[in-house]
Amino acid sequence: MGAPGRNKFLYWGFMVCGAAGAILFPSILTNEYYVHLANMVGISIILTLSLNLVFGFAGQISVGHAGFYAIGAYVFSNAVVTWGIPFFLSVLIALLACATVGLLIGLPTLRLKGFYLAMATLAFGVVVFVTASQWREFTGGAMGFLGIPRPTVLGYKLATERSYYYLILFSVVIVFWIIHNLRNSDVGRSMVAVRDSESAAGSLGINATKYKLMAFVFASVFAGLAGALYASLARYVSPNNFTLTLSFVILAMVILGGLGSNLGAVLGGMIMVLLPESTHLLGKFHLMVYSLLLILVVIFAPHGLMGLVHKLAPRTAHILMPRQNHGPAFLQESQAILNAPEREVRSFLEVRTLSKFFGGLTALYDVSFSVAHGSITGIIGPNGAGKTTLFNIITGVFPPSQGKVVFRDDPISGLKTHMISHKGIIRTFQSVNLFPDLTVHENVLIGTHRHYTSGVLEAILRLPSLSRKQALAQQITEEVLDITGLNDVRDQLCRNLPFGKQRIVETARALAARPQLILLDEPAAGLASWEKESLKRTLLRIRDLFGITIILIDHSVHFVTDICQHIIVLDSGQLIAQGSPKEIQESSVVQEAYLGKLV
Amino acid sequence: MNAVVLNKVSAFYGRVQALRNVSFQAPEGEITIVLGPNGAGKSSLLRAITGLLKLREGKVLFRDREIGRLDTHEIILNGIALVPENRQIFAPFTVRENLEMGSLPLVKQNRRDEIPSQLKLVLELFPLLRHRLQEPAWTLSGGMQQMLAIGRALMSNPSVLLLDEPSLGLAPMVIQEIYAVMKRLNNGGLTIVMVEQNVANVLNLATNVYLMDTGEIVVHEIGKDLDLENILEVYLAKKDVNKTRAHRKEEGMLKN
Amino acid sequence: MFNQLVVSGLTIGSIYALIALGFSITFTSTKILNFAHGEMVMLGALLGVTFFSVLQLPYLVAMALIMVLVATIAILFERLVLHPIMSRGGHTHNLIISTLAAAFFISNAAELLWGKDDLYARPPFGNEPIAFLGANFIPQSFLVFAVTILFLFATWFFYEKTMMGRSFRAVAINREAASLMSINVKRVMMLTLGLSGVLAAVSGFAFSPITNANAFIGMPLGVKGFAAALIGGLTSSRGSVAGGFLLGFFEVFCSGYISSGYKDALAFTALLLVLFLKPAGLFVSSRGISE
Repeated sequence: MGAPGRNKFLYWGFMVCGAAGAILFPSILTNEYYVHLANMVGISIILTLSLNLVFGFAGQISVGHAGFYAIGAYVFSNAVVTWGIPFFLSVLIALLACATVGLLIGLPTLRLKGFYLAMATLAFGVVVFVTASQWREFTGGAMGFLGIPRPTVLGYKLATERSYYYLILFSVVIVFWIIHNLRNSDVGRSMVAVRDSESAAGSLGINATKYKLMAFVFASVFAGLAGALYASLARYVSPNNFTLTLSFVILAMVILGGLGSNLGAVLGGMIMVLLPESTHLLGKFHLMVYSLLLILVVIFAPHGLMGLVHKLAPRTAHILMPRQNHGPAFLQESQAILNAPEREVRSFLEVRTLSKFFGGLTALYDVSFSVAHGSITGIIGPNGAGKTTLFNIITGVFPPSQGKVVFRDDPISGLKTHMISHKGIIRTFQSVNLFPDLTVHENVLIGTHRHYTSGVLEAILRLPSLSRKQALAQQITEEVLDITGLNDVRDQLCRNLPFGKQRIVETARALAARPQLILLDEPAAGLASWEKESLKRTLLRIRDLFGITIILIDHSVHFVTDICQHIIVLDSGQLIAQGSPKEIQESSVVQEAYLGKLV
Repeated sequence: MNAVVLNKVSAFYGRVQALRNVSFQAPEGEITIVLGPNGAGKSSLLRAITGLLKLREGKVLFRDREIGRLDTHEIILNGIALVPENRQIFAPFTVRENLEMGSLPLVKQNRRDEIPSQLKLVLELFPLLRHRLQEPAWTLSGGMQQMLAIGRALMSNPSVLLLDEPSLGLAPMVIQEIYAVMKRLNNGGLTIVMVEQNVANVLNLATNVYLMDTGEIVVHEIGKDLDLENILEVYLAKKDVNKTRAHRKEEGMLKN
Repeated sequence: MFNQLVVSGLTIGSIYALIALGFSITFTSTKILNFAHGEMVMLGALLGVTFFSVLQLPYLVAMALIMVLVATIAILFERLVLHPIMSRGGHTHNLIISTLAAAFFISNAAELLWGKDDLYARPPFGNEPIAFLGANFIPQSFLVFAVTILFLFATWFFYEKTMMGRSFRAVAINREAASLMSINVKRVMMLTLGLSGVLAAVSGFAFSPITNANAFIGMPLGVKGFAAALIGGLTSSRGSVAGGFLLGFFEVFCSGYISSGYKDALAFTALLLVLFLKPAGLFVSSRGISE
């Protein structure tokens, strides 16, 4: 855990100073202009934080973020001016409107990725802009919307920049707190998992749709809040406040600060307002400078300023981010999960007359076999035999064309991946499917999702139930890291690990999900011989310690005959033989399949 | 003399090591076969030769000339042609246009005069293609697509032909036909390196056989009387690979 | 009125068709959606004002100069921005962000060079309306259409009838197989960017006398061009061109019969609908959309 004591002291010291500075700030400065700047900084920070949530955490690129900013501003303005609704209720209405639009935009864009998602969000931004310019009755058109009032809080009207500052400060703190809590909970980790690998996330029981939508809605709500705050601050809004350029600048600042980092987003928000102010010669060139800077960052420093801070001064970075404080271990409960008795079932896993056709291609035909509880079964066969297709069907990547899969008397064919994961079947992939930008520890921790899912409210409010879940999840993670021998690399980013270790992390992550059945797709592929030995030992330990049933695919007949009790041989989609390793080696059918008919 | 030599080559796909310290020779004018299960590194071997896979360590030599640092399109111009796994023909192009693409290396080297004779050769070897010249390649059967892929590779009049699992997914008759073509081309002096998974198919072809596993060469047999029992047993893990024996043999080869 | 709208539709459609074609050939070759594509159109228009109206160069000379200049800028963009990113993994988000950044860079630079105001190029055949089928048309409309047809034909000829064009298509079909044919894939991608830049610039130059040109028209035009390509099918050049004309007609008719203020929003809404419902395009069989 490092040196938590020292970390915490510096961390809290920093926080207290920061808080004091923030609160005293308006009284210290005599020039109201600086307070205005601070207000703009605050609003910008909310914007960058919200974009970082949907793009940085959930990986959904949004190039039209100013659209939600606009919707928040205009709905709020109409609510409070045109419909005479009280200030804070108007804000709420604006937030609801944004949430609705966020959902409406989020749902159809779920299927879109990359360029298409970017285009869609860009189009959204422009549609909002054009609507704002044209829909005079609602927005005042190009002339803008005038006469937006300031709120009255506890009898005191926030008429000055100074007084309004506190409302903005309060909002920023709340937004940051919410996002911070989200990120450091199962919710945030699930979002990141979905960003890094939807397939791996699904295999661990994480419902990608749910988390992507959540991110979109939260981001749009926060952007809408910024819009309402801005409207009241400036007392006037016009379409020029919500241009595509602004969407671009917010995006640029998030990346400049460091995509995926809350602190980076804060930095970005500050730079967004302060940079043009401090260098007046930028003036007309500012967009060019931003663009150039952005391209340079993307090529040379893709993790932005926070990335550079991490590289150059790793200790400072750690000071700014305290370690997670886990509650006391609830030993009894975790033992209960580990040693849950096997309920009596007729068969553990049964594959019945499974067939899969892709257009004219028969990938699998009439495959039937059963797997005994607590065994290690191997599936082998020449290239294109249908082994991975079989796994894909069992884990719900696609349904079978015919036949079914029954797991512990429960038919599972046709269910979605994350639902099958929840039933206790976890898989690994042929090419390593880790979350590359997360540490080994985090990767394995995400594996515990299916048992320790936390709700949004739980996460935001840091309810005690959350601590309990985190503690249990943490405990299982520690155990798994121990068993698989990964403790020495636990804090390294997965993309920096050698391949053999990455494979083991993947197995460890699957293990953390406490599966009853683990499917390993070519776990030994690409490993050196000593790494294979290590893997064999780990698999045997898993089976012996936890009674987990293992099915693995591998091309190395060596590896499979060493470790499996039962082997199934596929060739061209059909099951041609099954039996003990010796039987398979002696089988002429198998020999023919692999080597062809010898003359 | 060796047409192609790999000298202690290591290559990676990202973090995965595809080739581990591989040393390999394909003698000029002979047919060399590379066997092994999937993931053994056979395709990687061919890709390393043609520059599709970049080397981390070691050298690739073509007739004693180092080509390991060159780009693929430059390596091809040396007279090497690859028939990739799964054929990779240009599906929307006609058969003729596919063959035309294959002749590009000759065009780039101002050897256009060789093209007509190459086309004649290809159509002679694969007469079935003659009637389908104007048809889009995607309408061809698997076997004919394989013939087209080989024909396309031959259009550049290469001195070394590399083939990656040409028999994959093909009917036995078609496989025999293709192998007959290979024999004929080799008799005419073409050096051939062929990667295969199905051992039996290639038995009467090869005079030089390598068996790979996990990115390494584990067995190297040379000559007319190949010890196939040995290969079989290693393949099926009935026998542990006697690496020292294989390495000793290799050393023996290098001295030649 | 109907005939008027038809000619307007053809004119606008021509412009969108050329822009869409540029998107399509870049995408099929490099798998990149170039967000800066629209800026090439803008440059074509503004350079057109400078060369043709201000410097009074002959039409064809101006066009040639513009083609060379914009092709150079596109190639520089490929070398300096796209290539470094591709060689470092070519992650989609990085490509999106850098093409967007390039777009804003070029737009801002244009603002500095030409100012913020609308500029109009002088029409090469004057503004005397020609009466045709009961409506009045300005000659420039026909010129736009003619130029478009010419360049569409030239592009078609290049890709279908020349060896070099076929090797470009080979790269789009299968990069590795193309390199095995001794095709220099990197150079092809670079030249493709150049070609699409030329198409964009020509469309910009052609329509500069008809509509206002300023430093900010790039992005909306680019998005519309993309919408057109998507509607027709991004991976099909024919589809993209058809999509361009379709969008042109759709916009003109909606603008004529419904309202003209929202016409920009119409194109974008159409784009969103296509993305949500049939991302592969109307003229192409459905395929999965992933990068």
